[in-house]
Amino acid sequence: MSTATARTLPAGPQPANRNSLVMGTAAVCAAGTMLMFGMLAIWFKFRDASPLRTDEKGKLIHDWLPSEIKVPEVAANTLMITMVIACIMAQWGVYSARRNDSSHATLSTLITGFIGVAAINAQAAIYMQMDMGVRDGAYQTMFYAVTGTMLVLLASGVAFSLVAMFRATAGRLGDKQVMTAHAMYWYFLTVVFCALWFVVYVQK
Amino acid sequence: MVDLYLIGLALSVLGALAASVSLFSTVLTARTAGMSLANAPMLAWSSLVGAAALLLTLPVMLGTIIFTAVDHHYDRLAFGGNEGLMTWLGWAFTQPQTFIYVVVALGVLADMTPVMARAKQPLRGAVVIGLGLVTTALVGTVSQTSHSLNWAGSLTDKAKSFVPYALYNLLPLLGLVIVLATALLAVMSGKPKIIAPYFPTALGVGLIMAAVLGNAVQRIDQAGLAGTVFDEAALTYLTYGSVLVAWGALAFWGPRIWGKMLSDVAVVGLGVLGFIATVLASLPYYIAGFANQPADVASDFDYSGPQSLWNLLSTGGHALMALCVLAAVATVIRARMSGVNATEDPWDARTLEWSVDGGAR
Repeated sequence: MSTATARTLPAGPQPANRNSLVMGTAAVCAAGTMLMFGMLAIWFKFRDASPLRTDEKGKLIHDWLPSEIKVPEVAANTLMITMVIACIMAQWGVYSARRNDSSHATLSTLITGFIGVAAINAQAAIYMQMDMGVRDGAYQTMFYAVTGTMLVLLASGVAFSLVAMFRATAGRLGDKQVMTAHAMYWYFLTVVFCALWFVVYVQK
Repeated sequence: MVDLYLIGLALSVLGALAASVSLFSTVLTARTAGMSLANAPMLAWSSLVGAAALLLTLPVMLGTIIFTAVDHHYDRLAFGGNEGLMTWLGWAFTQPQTFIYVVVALGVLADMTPVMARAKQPLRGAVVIGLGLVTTALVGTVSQTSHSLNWAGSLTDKAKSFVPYALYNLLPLLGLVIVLATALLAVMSGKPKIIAPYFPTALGVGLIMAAVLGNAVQRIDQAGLAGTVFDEAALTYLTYGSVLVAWGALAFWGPRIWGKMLSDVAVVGLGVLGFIATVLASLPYYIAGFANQPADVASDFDYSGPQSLWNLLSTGGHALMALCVLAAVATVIRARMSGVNATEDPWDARTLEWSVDGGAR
């Protein structure tokens, strides 16, 4: 009696690594960076084209920021620090997700979203303190356009944090992509805000 | 109305960006098991390259739209109101930015040629390089400066003018030439059997070539074409050329999608008619451009040429193209309702893409 030898087919190719969300978020971040940097480039163009005047210290400066407008630096600096903290919280979410720690992942994304709301509030406070109308001049129009765009990006970051939080709460820790993409988006927000902060609030 | 136009434009850009993100991440992460990027079809490659270029340029356009829209809605101080829109946004609708919009069209040709030639594409890497070179147009776009060639002055002056001109206007042309040359190589290395979708595709890419060549000529200062209708003609060549390629792509992949064949006569006929329409719409303005017919002006300009004839021919071309598009839509609807059933490999392609079960019908 002959014995039948069990034969198996060779293993098929490995399934494709599906990092679609991370890759998609990276593409969005690249596009967002181009959006904000493009807007800041136009800001620079206008600033450079503004006429020269002498400031109170006798220095020759571009007459770009109207003299009656005071930029609230404390609020702007606080906003910048807040953004950095949001990144740390988002990274905490990635750390927790890698350890299947649902409660910490939920908490970290909740705090990240809360910080995002605080950042939006800080931006609103800056608007209140500056107390200028959008149609008062070229500087005012461009200020509201560029910071308004940043606000929209921030609001989408808060929405992303909420989605990530609900997924973590529901125990979907298997897909760590969401946490990674969420952290990546907040890093992007911080980088573009850093550029905006320097150009609009520091260099003025 | 202008505010609404700007909002509509912004929404269109957002839609194009969303599509680009989708294409970019799909090609990179959702390929079938075992399919490496090196083996990916040229259509996928061109989609990837084109999407990446759009992701880098369209946001700049979006930022400009936001500035101009806010300015236009409120004080119209900074960006020049209605008249300033073209100054700030014109780069997005003129060459070389428009080359980026048609990179996928070259991918369609590169994908279809080996099928038609019944040969493996030689020098696949060169095709990818060609596609990439076309997107170097984005560098010229982001700088938002027209890099023209002024062949005057000393040799150093000429070199200073030539290098940026070549970088921003001739590199995309070189990319297109490479894609066409590799297509020719594929045809020569195989046993070509012309398929109907190849007609409109090849004609469309030929029209795109006319646009890219036209742009290279237009950017030479001594040609005196700046500010003439020549630019509009190049844009028409490019736009209608890509419409023809889209028609070819629809006829090529359509049977795989809905399981019905399009009529060969209709595909070829509409392709040829579309080609004639494009030439009618564009060529008169190429000629009028050399005769200094100004752009953006309908009447009241000093011009001794037969502008009425050029305008009439061009209008006729546009009207014929509109009819071709309507006829193409009718052809697709008719094919879907009562067309001949397609086989899994209607083109006898013998390539991986057409060898597997596509789930048609």
